[in-house]
Amino acid sequence: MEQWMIRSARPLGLAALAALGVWLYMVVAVAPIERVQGIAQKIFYAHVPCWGPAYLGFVLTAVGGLGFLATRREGWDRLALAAAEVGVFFCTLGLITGPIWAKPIWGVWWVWDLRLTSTLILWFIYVAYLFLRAFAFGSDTARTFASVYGILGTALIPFVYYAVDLAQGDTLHPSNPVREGLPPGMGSTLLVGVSAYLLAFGYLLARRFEIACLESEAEEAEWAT
Amino acid sequence: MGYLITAYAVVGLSLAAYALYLERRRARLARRRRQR
Repeated sequence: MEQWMIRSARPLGLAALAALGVWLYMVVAVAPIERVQGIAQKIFYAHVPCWGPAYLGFVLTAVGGLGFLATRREGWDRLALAAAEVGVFFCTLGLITGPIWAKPIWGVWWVWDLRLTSTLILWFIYVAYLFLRAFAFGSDTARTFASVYGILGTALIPFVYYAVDLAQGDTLHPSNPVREGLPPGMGSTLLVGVSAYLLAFGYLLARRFEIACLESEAEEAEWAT
Repeated sequence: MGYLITAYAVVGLSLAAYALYLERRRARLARRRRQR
């Protein structure tokens, strides 16, 4: 698994670059200007695709944690660490682009509604995970604790996703777009954006995974000398 | 228009900066491995 992941980084990176180029072209030339929100609505194509890679990163953290607890193989633990870091990166991007979209549309940068607050809590959970990994490096107990923590963290994801429905109208946040359907030009641009972000996620994950492997090798070499 | 450009600049620059950071970190670790 390790060699396959490491080797996939370059092709994924090149594919992500190409897809991001197509996505930018579609945002400028294909996606229509929305009648009510105007040009600022196009922030949608930069903001919404952040969440797929963010949630995928957190789910893979749990998968890596489960794999590590079941097999005690370090490869799973490295996958969990890499996925958490890349997941936090995309979650941060979503939390930054969201307010940039909210300000011209809602007139405020942030509201403490269920969706935004639960997303912020999710971000804090995985930032804490990264702190835990950074300060308890190499210990088997820390790896076990981090695995359990990473698995439990995913419990919040369905709550974040369905927070708009749970809020029962007490939110400024629009409902989940996939279920509503989008006008022509908007749906295809969003789809290309989601694909481009997922390819970028794959590339970053593979690179971060390779770094975790190299760091582990360096640590073992230090112990040996 | 300013908000739109800011949002896309944040995404583009962040992706580029994070990818560059990972590439440089990987290259440094790989170089150290070759030296061992």
